[in-house]
Amino acid sequence: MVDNKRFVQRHAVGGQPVLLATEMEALGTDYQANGYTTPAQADEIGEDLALGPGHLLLDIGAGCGFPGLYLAKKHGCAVISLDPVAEGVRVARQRGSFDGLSELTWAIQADAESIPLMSGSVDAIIQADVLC
Amino acid sequence: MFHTIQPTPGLSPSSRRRANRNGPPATAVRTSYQSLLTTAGFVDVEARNETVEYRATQLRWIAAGERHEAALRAAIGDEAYEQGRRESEAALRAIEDGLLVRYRYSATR
Repeated sequence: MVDNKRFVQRHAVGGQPVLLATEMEALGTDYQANGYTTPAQADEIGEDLALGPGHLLLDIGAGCGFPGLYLAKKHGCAVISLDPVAEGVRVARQRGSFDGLSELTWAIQADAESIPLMSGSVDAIIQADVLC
Repeated sequence: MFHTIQPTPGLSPSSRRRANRNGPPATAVRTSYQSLLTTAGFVDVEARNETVEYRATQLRWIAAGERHEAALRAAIGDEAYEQGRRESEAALRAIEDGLLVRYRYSATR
């Protein structure tokens, strides 16, 4: 069961300098991420999935957008960041725009059990520590 | 392709309970992810153990939390800070005791 209240609280303050500083020291990222996927692991994902322009990636439980937005920036693929928490979706949307990726990135508030996409409409799906 | 944290396969019931208590909220999976993926119709299922990196990242989170303790307490409150610290340290102990692992799974459909 997702502790939405805790995620909302976490995402609402995630942009604060000290949280970004701890994220940078722990993960080496600045996406308001709080998980365990490092950029090196994200790079491997991108390579192993052979992501590139013209590909559409779905990032389930994306939170504030890492690693999906990172992969979009690095590989030129499009990405849909999907998360049930509005705060995370808002931050992911802002980050996509900030990175100049508005035409390649979408952030949707939805639950993973009811994904509003047609079957077969994406090229690859990723999720980072969503099932646990 | 996904990462997940799970109890180490083959644990005794008591060790599994400890893994579930000290891991992320929904760690309690009883069926292997490989069999779940296969049952769902996926092929070319691969599992890669990335626990070494998981432990290293957990250590960095704890260290960063300690370095920035005062500012974190001010930003998120004492209760949230202390809960996060307890959970991180419990997870680290579980990792080091061989109870929690992190895997990357990939499959094709």
